[in-house]
Amino acid sequence: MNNERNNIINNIRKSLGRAGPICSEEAKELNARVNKPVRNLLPSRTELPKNELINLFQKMAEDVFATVERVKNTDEIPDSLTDYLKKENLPAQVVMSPDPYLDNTPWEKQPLLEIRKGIPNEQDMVSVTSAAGAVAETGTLAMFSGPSHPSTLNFLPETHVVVLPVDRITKNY
Amino acid sequence: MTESIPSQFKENAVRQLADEDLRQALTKSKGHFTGGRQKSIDNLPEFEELRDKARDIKNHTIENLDFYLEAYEKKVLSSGGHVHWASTAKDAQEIVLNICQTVGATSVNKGKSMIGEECDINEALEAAGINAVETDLGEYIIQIRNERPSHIIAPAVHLTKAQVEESFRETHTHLDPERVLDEPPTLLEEARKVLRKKYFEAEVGITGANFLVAETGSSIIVTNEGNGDLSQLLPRVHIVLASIEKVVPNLEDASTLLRVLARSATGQEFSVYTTISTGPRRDEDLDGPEEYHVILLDNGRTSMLGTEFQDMLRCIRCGACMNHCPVYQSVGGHAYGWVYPGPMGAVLSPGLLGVDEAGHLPNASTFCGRCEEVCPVHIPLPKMMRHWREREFERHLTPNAYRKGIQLWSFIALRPNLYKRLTSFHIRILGWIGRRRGRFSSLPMAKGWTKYRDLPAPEGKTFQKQWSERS
Ligand code: SF4
Repeated sequence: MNNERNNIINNIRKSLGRAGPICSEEAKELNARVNKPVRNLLPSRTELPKNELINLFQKMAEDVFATVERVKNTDEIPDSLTDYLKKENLPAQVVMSPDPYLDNTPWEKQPLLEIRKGIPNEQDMVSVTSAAGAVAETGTLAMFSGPSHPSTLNFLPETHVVVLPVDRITKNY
Repeated sequence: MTESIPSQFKENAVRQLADEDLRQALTKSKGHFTGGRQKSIDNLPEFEELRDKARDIKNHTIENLDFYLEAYEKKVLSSGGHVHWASTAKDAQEIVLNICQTVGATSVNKGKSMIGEECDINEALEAAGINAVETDLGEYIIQIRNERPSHIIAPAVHLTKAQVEESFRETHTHLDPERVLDEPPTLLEEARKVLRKKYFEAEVGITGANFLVAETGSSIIVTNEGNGDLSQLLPRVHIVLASIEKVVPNLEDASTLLRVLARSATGQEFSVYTTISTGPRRDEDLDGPEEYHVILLDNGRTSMLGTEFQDMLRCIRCGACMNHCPVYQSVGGHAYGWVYPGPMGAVLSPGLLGVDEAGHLPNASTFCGRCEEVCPVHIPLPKMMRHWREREFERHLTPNAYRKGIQLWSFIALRPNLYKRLTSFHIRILGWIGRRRGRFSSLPMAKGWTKYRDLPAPEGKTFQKQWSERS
């Protein structure tokens, strides 16, 4: 296998007209590019004041058929979630990421809402997670996998409800 | 499998041209792709500048490919993953089988992967008694129909709704035969239900990669259905199949490429899911694969480096060139006879399979230049097709009549006086014979044209004559 590796690397060098590895001067530059990336050209559509950035995020997300509901504070989240589930004819039963933000949400306000923390199974229809960030440029949510956010929650249940604190909305990805 | 091979492009094309279902399917999809692309570009004033940057990023990486691959490998290893190198498709098959057998896999989930197609991974798995399930809707449809993809991002684009319905009814015999199944959402729903079960059965998930990132040792996939993402998350082992030119220096570079990829491909601002995977699950993670393997495939690419075909390695597989190609839109992807169709296939396939096998494909072009115009990384596709034609000609692989014709033409074209005299003579004769009907329905030595349409009779004078009269 090492042989295969050396063959391929050597073939690349030969085809590019180089006898061996890139010289150390150049390698330094390339290393810098790998380890200290600089921002590339970014779309200017996000040059907006904070409030409009939130609007842009919402518009971009709705353009690709997400539904967005704004709430004033965490206290309003449980009602908003159960209203949505009712409206969509979904069971009041969710699987939730064990993350600190959601842990601090007063779910007890909706005692009929059944919450299980952890990873989803085949039967789960709705997952609830927070998002580590969001991108106004494209209306995209950013999630990091980890013990407080298992990635299967993003993909397995048919409906994914995301709680997004607005200060996590950034301009570009 | 309905086999067609690249060397039979002409025969394949004739057959496809007569296929009414294909015509219907392609007409429907074309406007969707080209219109969508244009709209998303109109929404992004920076698009042209981003295209230039995308080209530069790819060029820079290719020029330093050995460095970036080694840097990438180091990062994958340090995040607990494995890197395997495969010179040929056969090598890649063996590595996949080896991993599957080591973990005792009986079932494998596949996210959409063109490298998987290039290596015939499904066939290799089936031959080893391992069940391979395609989880991308389009790939699943062609898998149950035993066909090859006809498009690099929309593998089942050649099919009509009715054909898909028929295949589902034939395959999903456990479902109610009376069920309604004539709209895309009902088809999608049924495929989902069937596939969902399979996700949990597989021990191994195989995906491709749109990009490999040297900075972090990550593989990136973009999907719209979330299928590839589940294929790599749920099974115990994740195998990434990627060709060596997929590597990019850092996440910023990947972001620039992502900004042009989805827009060029489907006209989306961004794909629904962009998933970045780095290594296997960590001790504290609750889900994710326990093993993470990357297979880096060469399969002829290193021999394109340093040649006039090097630019082809910039390709990010968006499919825009085929969406805008009048030839592809008429004959469909299967006529090209291998994994990669359309203009990009016409350049890449001879590079990977050899000019003997696929040297015919670059002839399937009118040189209208639309492909190059829309390519997000500015690949000069027509120029490279011309290079292949030259190679085919040099190697005496073109038909004799064609060679003789070209030789005769170049003899005449190099002698301006002879050219002038012959053309004005011909134009007068043809114009005189065809003066009544204004066109010919058959002409000796022009059957290839007149079999399908009339040839207009020339009117007036030659271009050169008219030009000299003007100046
Ligand atoms: S050649 Fe260009 S347009 Fe065609 S698939 Fe590749 S990147 Fe897209």
